[in-house]
Amino acid sequence: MRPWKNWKNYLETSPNIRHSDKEASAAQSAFAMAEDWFAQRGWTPFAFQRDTWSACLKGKSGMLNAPTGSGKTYAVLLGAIMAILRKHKEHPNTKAKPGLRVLWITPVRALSKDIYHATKTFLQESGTPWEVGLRTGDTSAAERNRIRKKPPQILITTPESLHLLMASKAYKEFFDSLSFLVADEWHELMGSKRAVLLELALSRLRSISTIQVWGISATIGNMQEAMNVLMDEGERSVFVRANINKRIEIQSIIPDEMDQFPWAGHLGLKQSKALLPIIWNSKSTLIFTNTRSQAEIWYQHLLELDPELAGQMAMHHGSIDRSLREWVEDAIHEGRLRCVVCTSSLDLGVDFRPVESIVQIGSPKGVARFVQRAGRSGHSPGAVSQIHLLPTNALQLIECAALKRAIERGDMESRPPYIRSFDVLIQYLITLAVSDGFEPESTYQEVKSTHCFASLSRDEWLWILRFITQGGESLSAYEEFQKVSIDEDGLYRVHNRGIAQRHRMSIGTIVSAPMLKVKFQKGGFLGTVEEWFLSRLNPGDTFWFAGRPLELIRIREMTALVRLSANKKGTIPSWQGGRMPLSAMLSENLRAIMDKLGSEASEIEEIRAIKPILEKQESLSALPERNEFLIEKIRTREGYHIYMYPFEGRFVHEGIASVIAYRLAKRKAASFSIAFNDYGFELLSDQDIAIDQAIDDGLFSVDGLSRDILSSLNHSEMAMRRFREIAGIAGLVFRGFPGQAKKDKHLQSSTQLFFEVFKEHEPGNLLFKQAYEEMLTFQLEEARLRHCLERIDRQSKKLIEPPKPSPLCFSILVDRLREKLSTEKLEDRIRRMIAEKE
Amino acid sequence: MSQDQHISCALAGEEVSLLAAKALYWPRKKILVLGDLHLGKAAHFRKHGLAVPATVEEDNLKRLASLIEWLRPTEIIFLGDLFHSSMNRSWDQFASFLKAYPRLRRCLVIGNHDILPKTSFQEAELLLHPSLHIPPFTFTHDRDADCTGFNIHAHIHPSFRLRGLGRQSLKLPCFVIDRKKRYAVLPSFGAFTGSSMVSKGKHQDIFLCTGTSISKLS
Repeated sequence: MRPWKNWKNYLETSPNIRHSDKEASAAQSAFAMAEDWFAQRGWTPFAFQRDTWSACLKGKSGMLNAPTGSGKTYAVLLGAIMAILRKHKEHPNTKAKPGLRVLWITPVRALSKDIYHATKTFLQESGTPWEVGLRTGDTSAAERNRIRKKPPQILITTPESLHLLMASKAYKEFFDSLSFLVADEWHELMGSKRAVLLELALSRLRSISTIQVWGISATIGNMQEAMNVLMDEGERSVFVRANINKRIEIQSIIPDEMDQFPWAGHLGLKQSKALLPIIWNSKSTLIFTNTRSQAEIWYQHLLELDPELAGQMAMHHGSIDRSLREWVEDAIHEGRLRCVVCTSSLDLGVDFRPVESIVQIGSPKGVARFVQRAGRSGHSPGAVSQIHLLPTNALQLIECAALKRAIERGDMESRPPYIRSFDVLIQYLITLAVSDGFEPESTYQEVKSTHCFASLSRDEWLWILRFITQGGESLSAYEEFQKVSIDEDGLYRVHNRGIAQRHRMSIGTIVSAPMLKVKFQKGGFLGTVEEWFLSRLNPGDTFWFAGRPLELIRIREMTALVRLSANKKGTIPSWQGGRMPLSAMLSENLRAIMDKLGSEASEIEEIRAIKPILEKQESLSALPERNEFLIEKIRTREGYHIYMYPFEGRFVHEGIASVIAYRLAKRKAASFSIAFNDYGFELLSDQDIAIDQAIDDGLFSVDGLSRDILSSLNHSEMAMRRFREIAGIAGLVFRGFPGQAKKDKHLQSSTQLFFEVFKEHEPGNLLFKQAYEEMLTFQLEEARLRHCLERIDRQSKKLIEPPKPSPLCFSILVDRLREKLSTEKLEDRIRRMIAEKE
Repeated sequence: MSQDQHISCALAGEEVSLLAAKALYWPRKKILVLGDLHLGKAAHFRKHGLAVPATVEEDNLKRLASLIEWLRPTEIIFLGDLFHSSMNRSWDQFASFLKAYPRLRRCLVIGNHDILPKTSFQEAELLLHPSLHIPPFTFTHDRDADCTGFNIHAHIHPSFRLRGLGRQSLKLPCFVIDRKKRYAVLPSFGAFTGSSMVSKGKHQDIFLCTGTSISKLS
């Protein structure tokens, strides 16, 4: 593999090259090695690469802010090697002392392979006799053993694998020569509990050895915070920005006949023909969809539309078998595929140089996600990334305009880091107890030094120690709790082999809905599908999966046996995780666009295109102007509908809708059913609601909001959902494994049971409380909800009773139906409803 | 003890009380019937390093004691799954608890979880039965559609989801009584035993337990 083949051309024309550097002289020999190698390849280093090298040589830690495909890997990799060579006063070509020197942490397997090859290429060509190793979930037991016995100088791994290393005996010796840790694609880890894993591992590694830490991150909204999370307090660290402005050119695919274009819908097949010229005119095209089911549908549809695509088109999503996905990735890399229909599964990872065009179907719902996807094409820096946006309904054209605005302004979402994740802390402490044991006081200081646990009080720490040694607060006379014991030397250790084994098996498990394997009867693994989908099918039913019609034969244990079906009509699995809410950043831009809708001739092409719909909205109801909040009331056979449009994304709308319904029902007994989408929400009741009076009485007031949230929503159900993951990470639930003894079967339980028993018997349990904290912060986004209500409260309310559904409320109406009906029937239903409306 | 702590109803011509405390009482015979205690489950989990609050075990015995104090039964029938798994100290706790009631007759209809050796049950003076027929009732662990009497059983840990305003919902343990198929299902008595959701069938009555009150689903 030659990752930077095309570099030479643009490097020569790059304006950013700086040829002299003050510090360079001090580190000339190390620098020379890097420069020589670059020269040998016909490259000249970028300014940001030289800056990173010299910062590394000075022993600094820092953050490199650079996009994928910019040469960031060689900036930090060579910097690390230089720094270490200088520290040990070694010559690049002499045999290096044994022992691990560089840890390179990546978020995904695909990426780690890429880094591995890049590193190998450099070591070979520069004649540096270092070893590089790769340890991920895929690594064989033999290779893992080899790495442990004879550590390579550079090890590429994931946060989970790093913890597994710390769960093995004598891990301190393994890490004691470590000098450098790199957190690659740090923006991907930020805002996830995997970042907490890395923070905790770092806190221990820093106590074993003095290390330089470098993060590599694409631009996110909270860049400074992202850097602080990684850096040691008091450390003077460096921020390097790669001034490579990748230009993104966005092309909205605007339908020719606007009056034929649907007002609602998520599939977008109507415009599918517009994709064919894009596909045939570029070497290779990636088509991104938002959900796996959408990918399946589009794949099937494109094949029907143009049979010539057969054999040149593939599909890639998270439920497809890994080997199949890897084949697709290799095929893209080698330019053997004309087009791939994919999901976020291809957001990250390998460079796909042959990819010339990107298509995004439906709104990407977030700016960062969109930029990431756009970056999958035009991989040589300086090249323009072209991305075609195909809206699936008319209102999404407004979202297209909002996206363009956000990108022009350089707006980017923040990734707030998790704090106080007690579940991860408990897992980590048991990891330490499983290997060599831990000393509580020094460990407390280490843990407190992390960003995540900076506010951890001594009481909380003592609670956690009691939790892992006594299983909670109370210690009865009949105590038999066995997990971590306190030995005579004061160290906390796990002695029970069964507990140690179960713990190692569960490190880093990402908890998800139960999945069933899909297999051909004659053998051959196709992928996994969520259990609830398959449980709705009967043997003999046909469904589409991995681009093929399959007939369900039977479900046995956790496997669905299938055969190819001759029946081309079938259900398409939908996956629950697929519906992302509109991000706060994109919502903000969307509202900015909405504010200007009323003005006459718009300079925005998308807005000009949906003029007919806006006019319809205006004639049936109204277009909300700046500082106006639109409320629509409609009466149908179903009952009395109230529509409101905060434009804040579905999660926030779910919260606000529940609060408003609760407040209305408190005034006068009534029951509501609630529907919501990214633009607004609907309250449906069987009686007329005096909404105007309620508004005067403070319907949108933030007073008592927290209380009303907790009484209106089924908060314990929502907290339960968060608790599922927490209980898995903290090792409370044991899922069992095949062929287990009856006694082990007796250890299985549901997280729900744990949740209920904590609620009743131990409400002070920190894991139980964490579930509520996470629900308020991440599910309800309480802070965002509060801001939104404050804004609405300030706006003047425009209450309108349209004679029939306006385009805005129609989109919610359809979303509500979607929850109840299958895809196919929905299309019919919508068609009929439109006919009724005309 | 107030009114809403139990509901009287006639089953196969006999009057029985459904208790909010998730048990059934047969006043004429002075028999208390309990399903699925799963004693020792929390201890079993804790022994394997899974931190179920230890108070769960005490809670089971406390509730059992207050039922006995209240009703003064002469006999208790446990409808199976009395003990969750292999031996642990909770069994000794339970055995010494029973010693306080020497004149209370106790029967265990064996359930799928009751894997303790027979001698352990016998030491606690429990009379073991595969099923128990006291006309007009047949007591079993799981349903026996072919039994002669009106079948009173446990095993499925029934609960019912009540839905309210907005998106509120509440899951409550319940009794299920089917007069046509002639059976009654008891909720699980033990804490930390879990439940499975049931829906209301055509000829069924459902009684919801909140622990302090019981009410019939209309």
